[in-house]
Amino acid sequence: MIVQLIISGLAIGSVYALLALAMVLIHKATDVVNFAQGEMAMFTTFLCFALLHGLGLPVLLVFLLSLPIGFLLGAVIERVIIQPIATDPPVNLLIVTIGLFIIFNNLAGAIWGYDPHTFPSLFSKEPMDLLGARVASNSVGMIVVAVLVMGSLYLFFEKTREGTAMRAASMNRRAARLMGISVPRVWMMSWGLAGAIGGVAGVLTAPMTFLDFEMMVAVLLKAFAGAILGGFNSLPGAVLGGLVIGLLETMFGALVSTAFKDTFAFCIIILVLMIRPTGLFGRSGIKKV
Amino acid sequence: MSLPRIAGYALAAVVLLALPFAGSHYEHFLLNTALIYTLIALSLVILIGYAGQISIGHAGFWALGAFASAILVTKTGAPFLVGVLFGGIVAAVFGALVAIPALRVQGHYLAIATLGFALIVQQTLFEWESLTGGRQGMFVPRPSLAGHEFTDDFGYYYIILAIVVPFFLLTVRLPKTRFGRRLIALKLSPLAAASFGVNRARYLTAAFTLSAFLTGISGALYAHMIGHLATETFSLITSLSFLTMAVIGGILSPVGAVLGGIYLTVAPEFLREFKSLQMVIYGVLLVLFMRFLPHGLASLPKRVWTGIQRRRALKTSSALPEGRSHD
Amino acid sequence: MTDRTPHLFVRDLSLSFAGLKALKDVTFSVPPASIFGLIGPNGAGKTTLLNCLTRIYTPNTGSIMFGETRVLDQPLHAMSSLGIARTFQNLELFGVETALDNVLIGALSNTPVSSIADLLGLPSARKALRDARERAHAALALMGIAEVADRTVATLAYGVQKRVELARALVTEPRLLLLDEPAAGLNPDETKALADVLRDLRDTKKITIILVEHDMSLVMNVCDELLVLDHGEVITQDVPAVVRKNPKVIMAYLGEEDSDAA
Repeated sequence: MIVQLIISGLAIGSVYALLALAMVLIHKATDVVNFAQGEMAMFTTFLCFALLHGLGLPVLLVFLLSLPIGFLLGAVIERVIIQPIATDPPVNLLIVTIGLFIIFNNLAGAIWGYDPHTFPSLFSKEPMDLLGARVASNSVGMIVVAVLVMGSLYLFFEKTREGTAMRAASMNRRAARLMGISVPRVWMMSWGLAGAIGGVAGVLTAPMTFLDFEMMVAVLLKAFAGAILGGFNSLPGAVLGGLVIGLLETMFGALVSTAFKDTFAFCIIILVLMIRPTGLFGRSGIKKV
Repeated sequence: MSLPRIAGYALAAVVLLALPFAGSHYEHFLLNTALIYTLIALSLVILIGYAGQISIGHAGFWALGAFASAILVTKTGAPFLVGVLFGGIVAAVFGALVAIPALRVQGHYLAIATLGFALIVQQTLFEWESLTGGRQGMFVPRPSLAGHEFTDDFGYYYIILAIVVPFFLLTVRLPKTRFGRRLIALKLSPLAAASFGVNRARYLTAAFTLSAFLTGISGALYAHMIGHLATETFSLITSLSFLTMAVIGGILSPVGAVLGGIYLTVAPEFLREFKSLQMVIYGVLLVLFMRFLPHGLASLPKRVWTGIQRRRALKTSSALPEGRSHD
Repeated sequence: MTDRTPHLFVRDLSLSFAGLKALKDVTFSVPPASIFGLIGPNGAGKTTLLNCLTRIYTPNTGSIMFGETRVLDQPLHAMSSLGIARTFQNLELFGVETALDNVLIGALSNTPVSSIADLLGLPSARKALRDARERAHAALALMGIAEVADRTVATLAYGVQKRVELARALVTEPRLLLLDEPAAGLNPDETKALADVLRDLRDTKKITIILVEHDMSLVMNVCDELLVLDHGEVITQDVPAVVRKNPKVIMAYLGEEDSDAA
């Protein structure tokens, strides 16, 4: 029983971790928090769904396509909407991402309707044996895919030129610019990568929760909780935070009540925000006066 | 006060008092809705425009005000106005609570905290069936003053007007008061404001409390107008609509709040054909406004005026002499 | 102005940022109604010290006594009521507001008004605000910039902006005035005018002034005493004439030149 709970918790936690990863990625590179990350992921998933049924493509291909589609969506949004107002006060950017949230959430409903759709899973419906317990293959699959994505991201950042350039730009924009790194390109890449990661999160969630326009709203909030837990400035932290939230929530749901599962996550958010000191003048520490 | 200004206020008063006569049932409902939304927009002008905070959870305060008033009036038979005041107070108390995370965090963290707050309120009200009727919701009696029940929205309009107008005037006056100036200073430079005596904790708590109070009153007024409360009305979408209307109207301007209130009332009417795309259009407007008119519709006259002045300046400073034909 | 301006006593002040010791056991005292300079090479900790004195930073150890008051027991927003006012290295003005409204914030810090009267616009509140505005005007006039009262601060020349910041600090009628690089970006004429203002404040208003400054001509000209910091430690405290000849001081500055040349 405990093994099943842990696997379930890690599975949903993987989705939270991926989305949290996406948000922290954008935040580290551009100082913007993308409230629409979940909705963009949902929209990407719907586009994949359309390809699946419209063109009859195989499930694995559709699943893989979530990466380039998500990437394109993120990159285009960054170029067209975010770039022109990049230097505006942060609250303006916040409101714009809220606007994007509203757009994608309702556009999906307008195009594909408000009823939930079934989305095929990559993994078999047969449960498998793990550590002596029977667990859903889908859950194990989710964890594996998430680990693969995170692993690839790690390799990208550590071993490739593009990735190293992005890390440099998020550490010190000016120095990076002086080294010939194009900061606008880094921004676009960050949004693109985040979009891709979000797309994977979406196609992982859809088989489990059914695909509908509200699919990622609660996920976004849990992912946010995870990112906050992890400190919002660290990629590994975001992953850890997402996994912890997934585990805690699943435990709470099983042991206490499923009705208040969502509320539990929000309470965590508020608790963490109260205890975590953020300093009065600026998120990055003491402002130089 | 100057003569033009007195004339302006007098004209506004006459128009406001005469408006309901120009329509019937449905228009009265729309007028009341616009006033109710305006009150919320005013609360956001105070919180976001003046205090520089953010909230995407104001539906939470709206819900608290609505249910508090409804419950008090139905369960204790308290008079309508007491219910409305009670709604404002209950919301205000929670406003002070929400200020606590606001003191520790800003920006997106705060936004999420307010969102979490609103969702907790909605969930709790939904689950607390004995108090709120849960899924069924609850019925709310019509407003009544001194025994007279206002069964239609015509009379109710004047009551709502009498409540909203003073709050409008308060919001207009606030930036000129000592409190308002220091609150805005806190927004513009927290460091300088604190160095000149502004107690951040006290001022932010006051801003959240005041903002919640206004929204709570609005919720109570709404409850007695609509007659039936369901928790799904007080959703994330609602909070986001509030933010949208305040931003589109003009987050720094009480007049903007009025424009925002009208917008939120009227837009669904105009966008009725586009039913599913209605919210999409809201979102698109939000993005476009932040890009091209960040201070909302209320800032349009000023922008146009500055544009005209700039063009005039360019003309008079032109190097080439204008037209040689008079030689 | 009737009570004697208290001494400022700083004892064993230490502050570390993420392992880096910014201030080490800093101890000094400032006599009343004097102009006291804080100097030292870049990174010496001068602004950090100033920020501790004005409660922007909280030191790890040490105490600061301003007369009878333990400054470190007070929150940041209590500074103005203690009679401590300051200007900032990077100018913390309210850019979108007018010069007058900027200075008005200073004036409002010592304008007691009841909240109800304030919000409702009762006559007592209106009068208090009018008085505050007059004081703000007077402060701008004192700095010789009365004419920019209704101009938006962001549109003003840098030197004028600095004078607005100083006016804002002065309108609070402080007993202790802390200035962070007041001469930075000023031309020789403006610097001379600043020196005159500072001397006048010390002599007529008996204000104690602490300056963090790099402009040596101003420092030598106007300061009664100097505190020299290097790498967060006090090197010496003495009158300018003696300090300029102190070999340790010269080494500290030369050391800075060496590392610049390297």
